[in-house]
Amino acid sequence: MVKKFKVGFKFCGNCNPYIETQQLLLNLKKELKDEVDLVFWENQPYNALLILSGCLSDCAERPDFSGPTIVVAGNTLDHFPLEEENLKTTLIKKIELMKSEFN
Amino acid sequence: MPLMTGYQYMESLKKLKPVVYFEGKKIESVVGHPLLQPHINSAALTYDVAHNPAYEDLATTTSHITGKKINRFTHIHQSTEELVKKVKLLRLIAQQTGSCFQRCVGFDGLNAVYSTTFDIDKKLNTKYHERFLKYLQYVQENDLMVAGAMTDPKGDRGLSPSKQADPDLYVHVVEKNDKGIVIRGAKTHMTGMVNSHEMLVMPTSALGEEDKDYAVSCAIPVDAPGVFHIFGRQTNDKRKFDKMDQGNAEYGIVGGECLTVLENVFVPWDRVFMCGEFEFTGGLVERFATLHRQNYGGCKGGVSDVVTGAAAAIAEYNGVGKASHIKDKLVEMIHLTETLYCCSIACSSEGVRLPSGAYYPNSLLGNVVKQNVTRHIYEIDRLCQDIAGGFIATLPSEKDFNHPELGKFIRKYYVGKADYSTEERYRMARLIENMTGGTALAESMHGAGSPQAQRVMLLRMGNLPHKIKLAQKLAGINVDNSKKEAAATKQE
Ligand SMILES: Cc1cc2nc3c(=O)[nH]c(=O)nc-3n(C[C@H](O)[C@H](O)[C@H](O)COP(=O)(O)OP(=O)(O)OC[C@H]3O[C@@H](n4cnc5c(N)ncnc54)[C@H](O)[C@@H]3O)c2cc1C
Repeated sequence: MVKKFKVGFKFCGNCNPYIETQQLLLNLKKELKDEVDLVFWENQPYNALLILSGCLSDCAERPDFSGPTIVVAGNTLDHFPLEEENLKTTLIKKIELMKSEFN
Repeated sequence: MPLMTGYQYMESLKKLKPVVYFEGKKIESVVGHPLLQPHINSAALTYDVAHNPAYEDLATTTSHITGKKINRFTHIHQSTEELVKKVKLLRLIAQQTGSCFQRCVGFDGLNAVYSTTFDIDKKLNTKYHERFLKYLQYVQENDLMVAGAMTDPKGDRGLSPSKQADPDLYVHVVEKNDKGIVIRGAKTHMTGMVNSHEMLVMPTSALGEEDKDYAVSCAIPVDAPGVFHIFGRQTNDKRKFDKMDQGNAEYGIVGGECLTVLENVFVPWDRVFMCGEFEFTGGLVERFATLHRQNYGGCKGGVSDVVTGAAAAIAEYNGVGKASHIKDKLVEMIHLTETLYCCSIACSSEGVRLPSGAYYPNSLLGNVVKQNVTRHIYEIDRLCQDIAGGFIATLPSEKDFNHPELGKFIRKYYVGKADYSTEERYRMARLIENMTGGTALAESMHGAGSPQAQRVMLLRMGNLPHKIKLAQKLAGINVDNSKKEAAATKQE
């Protein structure tokens, strides 16, 4: 049986969020449910790490993890600004690309 | 249990038996009592955020003693980044409670006593720090809520503790024996005390040798023999028996303060962290004050986020949301809130490492935070009341709102913009009334010290000699020459 691609997620503390990262995660879980397992960052091992920061400060502490990391910080994805409505789809594409490279 | 949930915290309170009075009557159980429950809910959130993946990055950290994951409120700051996280955590929780969640006072007490006991031991070869570490580990492993008990009643403010007509006006040691000490006195304005597990007693001011007996720091369970609490009144506290009229029924206002009386309370030596070392009292008070003043741009920033949101909402309900002066006032509220927050972030980022290894905010900037709070919160609240309109002060009661005959008149005559119900407008008005008046304002003035306490520190740390030199240089005054000239004139 092929193992499902696993992504660990970690939120910043959300003290002054500009985007709804919790909603974003729920949407990801819904849309990727057949292909990707999204697990809390403490549940290693996983194949990639997703950092979900509510604003550009991106102060989420990084866990010990040497694999690929995707960073959402406010309306940016890996530091590139995006319209909020495009954030989810671009992020999904990125995770799917990582998954295909993994397979 | 290293990380309790809010529910487990409430269950743990049920096992304690603190003696608490209100209006002459004993409160049998703090949990579930309408006067206290909002404050308990607020403190419970400090536990729940630690279990929420969205918040745990701020709400938890790793203990430097055990390496275990702990609630940040029981932690000793290990870096400037952690000082910053503390501020962010406070803002986060305050945004959700709109009110004080009490747990920072003990948190700051733990940090102040940690570094001070280290310094005492280094100088005097005592064992306070070792004892304190054990106590701290106990607090961390059981995720306890500790009340910070510093402020004494103080009697005649012009007299030192030992010169007071009544020696009990400051907490003092009345007996020492091989098992421990006995203390007597009281602590006032005790935030969250009645719903804490423990209290950390600290002296209230710098003391001299004649006040040695008052130089005492120790930890006591809130229900220890000899301890009782008289719960304080708040503006509109009888509304805690209502819902809508309370404004913030879930979390109340401020921290649910009390007068805590210590009538010959025995404290075993392993819970005593200072006993007679008067020369360290000034340092302890200063550290606690700075750590506590650091907070206010975080927690009051969060509270002001809610007040600003409430102002924007009520303007919209009133049909004036688009008026330019309203927008300008909202901008001013945001500006003031972020000014408070900036200072808290700045004093944290500019923090320093103390000999104990603990990190400590920049004291000058920490005092600026609190000084700003004694002014800006009043201005933020003034602007909110301006925007809201007078009905926040004159609204009929919730009972009338829900009355079978009167209710329809209230709904009719307190209506605003057609898009919103009268109930929404009523609820928002009550929230504003609750958050911008009375007890809530006094907390911003005196909590963590009255304005003058910060001004004394600003003068002391403001580096005036350096500023004078800067001015002299630009004015073309050669200080060395003018000193020589002055000396020569004297000789003539
Ligand atoms: C809501 C709230 C919560 C609080 N929570 C806590 C808590 O959890 N733990 C805790 O330890 N404390 C707590 N405090 C206490 C707070 O730190 C004190 O209120 C503050 O230090 C001022 O002390 P005071 O209230 O006795 O006022 P006072 O000291 O009486 O001050 C009143 C005025 O007199 C001036 N004054 C005082 N002494 C002198 C003097 N010697 N010479 C000249 N002027 C003087 C002051 O500058 C001020 O203007 C809380 C206070 C409030 C309002």
